[in-house]
Order: sequence, then C-alpha cells, then structure tokens
Amino acid sequence: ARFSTSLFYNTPFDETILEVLVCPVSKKPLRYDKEKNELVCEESGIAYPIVDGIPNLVPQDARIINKDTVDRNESPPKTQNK
Amino acid sequence: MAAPLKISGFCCRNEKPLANFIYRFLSTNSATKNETRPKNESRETHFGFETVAEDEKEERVYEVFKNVAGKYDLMNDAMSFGIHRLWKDHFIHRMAPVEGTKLLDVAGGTGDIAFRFLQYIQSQNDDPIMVEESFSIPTNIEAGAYSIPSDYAEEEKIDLSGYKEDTSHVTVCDINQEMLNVGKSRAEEAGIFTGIDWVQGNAECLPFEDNSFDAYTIAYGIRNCTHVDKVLTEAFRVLKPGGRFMCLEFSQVNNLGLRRLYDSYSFEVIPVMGQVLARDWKSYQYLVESIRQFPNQKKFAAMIRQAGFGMVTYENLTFGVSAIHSGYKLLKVVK
Repeated sequence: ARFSTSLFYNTPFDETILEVLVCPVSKKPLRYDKEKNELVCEESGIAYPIVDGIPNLVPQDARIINKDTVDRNESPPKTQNK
Repeated sequence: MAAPLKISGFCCRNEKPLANFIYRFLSTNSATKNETRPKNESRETHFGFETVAEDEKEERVYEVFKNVAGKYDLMNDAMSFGIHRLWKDHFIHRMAPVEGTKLLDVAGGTGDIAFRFLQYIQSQNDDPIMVEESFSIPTNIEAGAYSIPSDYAEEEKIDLSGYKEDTSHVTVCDINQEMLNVGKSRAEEAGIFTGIDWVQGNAECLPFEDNSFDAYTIAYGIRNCTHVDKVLTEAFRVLKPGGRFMCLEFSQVNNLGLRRLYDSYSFEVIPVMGQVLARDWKSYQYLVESIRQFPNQKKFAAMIRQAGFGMVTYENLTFGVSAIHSGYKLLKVVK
C-alpha cells in the first residue's frame, strides 16, 4: 500500500546529515534555514527545499535567492552541466 | 517504434499481433512523434528503444519511477520470481562490509541495498563467526543497535542518524521523491531509525564532498541515468582513496538459447504483468527496452576504468541476466 506523504508531515529534519551534505553545484557547505525549511548555499545564491524531512538537492529544483527580495524564480541555475 | 530491435529475430513484436495491438492501444507516445521532431535536435539519447532529447530523458525516467514507486517491490518479486532478492543478497555478500563503513547508495530509492547493508553488519556484530546464509528484509527487527522506539527518540532528541566516525552508516540518494518516500516508510516499518539518511539528488551531480565515502553502490539505477560517464566520474570523486565502487545491473545473456527465452519472457510477459499488476504497460516496456540499450559487461567495465577506477572486475548472475561490476579508487590513478 502506498503511504501518503502527509505521514511525514511532522518529520523533523535531521541536522546531522549536514555533516555530509554540500551544495551539488559549488560543493560548499549548506546553511539550514529553519523558518523556510531550506538548505541555503550562500555562495551559489540558491536554496534547496526540504520535503517531508528529506532534503532535495537536485539543482533544477532549487530556488534562486535574490538578496534584495524573496524571489520565487522558476528557472534552474545553469551551472549544473559543468 | 522507429529504432530497430536490437535483439534476436525470434522475438519480433510483429509476430505477436495481439500483444502488438494491446501495446499500440495503450501507448500514448508514438513513432510519429519522433518523425516530426526537428532534425536539428542538439543531443539525443535512447529512452528504451525510442530516441529522445537528452533533457527529456531525465524527465521521462522520473515519470516512470513516480508511477511505479507504489508497486515497485511487488513488481520486482513478480517479474523475477523473487530472484532479485537473491541477487541483492549476493551483492552485499560480495561487498562484505565491515563495521564503520560509510556507504553511499545511489538510486537506492526503496532501500533494498541499504537495509541489507545494515542487516549484514548487525549480524556480523552479533555473531562474527557464523553469518546467516539467507537474508530477508525484516518486517520486524529485534531490539538492537538499529531499533529505537520513536517516543524515546523524541524525548531525548538523540542523534538519530548516528553519524559518528566509527559507526556504519548508509546515505541513500535518489533523484525521485516517490521512491525515497517508499524507502523511508519501509525503514520505519522495519524499525530502522538510525544509521540511515535519505537525500534527494542527481547521480550526475552529487551533493557530497570529495573523498567522503568508503563505498558506493548503485543497484539497477545506472542504466536509467542520462550520462553514465558523469555518474561514474561523480562516483569516483566522492569515494575515499581505497574506496570501492559496486554496481548491480541487468546485463547481457550470452548463451543464445537462453537469450531467446529471456527475450521472449521480457517482451511478451513483463509488460503484460505490468499492466495487470500495476496498470502500467509503458513503464515496464521501458524497463525491458532500457536493459537492451545498456552496454554489455565488457563495455561497461571499460567505462568504469575510463572513470579512473582500478581492479575492475565483473561477475555474472543467473547467466548474465544481472551482473555485479566492482572497481576501486586506487591511490595511484592509472588510465
């Protein structure tokens, strides 16, 4: 039987995983933003969402951060194909 | 289908008009779509027997696994008559991991390899001399290192992943969220709360530092990736020097008589099974076609060497239906 994703709705994000995770684009460490539930790479200017307690580090799914305003930019960073 | 069939003539789809009719009826993408595609497509690759743009392949593969995730384990058992469990058991036996191993399991969505890894090490700890011959995925693990009641964990806020230097740990990385969700719920059902992490990521662009894992596994995932060479290069990058790369994948059956049998089973039975059990003919058609498109044992071994690995070997399972490839990131890179 399929489990609906709402089962994990309250799953806390386990921060110990940050010891191994880096931004796939820049390979630099990530910052955990608790409020937005994202992992932020300041250097690349992108933020990765955490869905149901599982961090999504696929570059195309990341959000580009605009320093001035919160910018929900749809287009993916172009740096994936190095 | 525009692409010629790369299998023995015995299993030509035209010989089976009923299967062919059912297939056409259910297929939404058709050969005509490919014919009207502009000729100046920048880069193309294969999606099963179909030719698609490279960008498109990743998306189509994502859709396939999103659709099959719910019935993935059931279909694996049905299609292989449960033999896939033996292949995976053997794979872990070959790895023979020791306590303290940091494993990265790529495309490991539903957790088959990850759970076996943890179970193997736990059984080594319990009984170092005798190892259980048959492994089965537990639905209920006895209290031990990997089973902590969830209310205890919440109260104490303990380190759930247990990522310490000396403990074994597996990080499961998959590009597909649905597959990871299935894996995570299976872990919870089995009472596995520690020693495992789940990350959504792309095998061609891994979110891990260089030289960070002792072992890397990819089971039945690499043939679905758009750029196999990039996956291998990334695998090389994230492994520590001395680290081991292991791949379990469908491969070529060299014995001609058996191949005919295997091909007719693949093309006549499996998609129908997919339709009956999972109401999804196309995904299983893609599955059997993608197996034919993947390089054979020798070619794949050469690709692994190309990525920098040394001591590259392979072992056939069930006459080559599956194969285990293994390589090491040697300290001195010889190309």
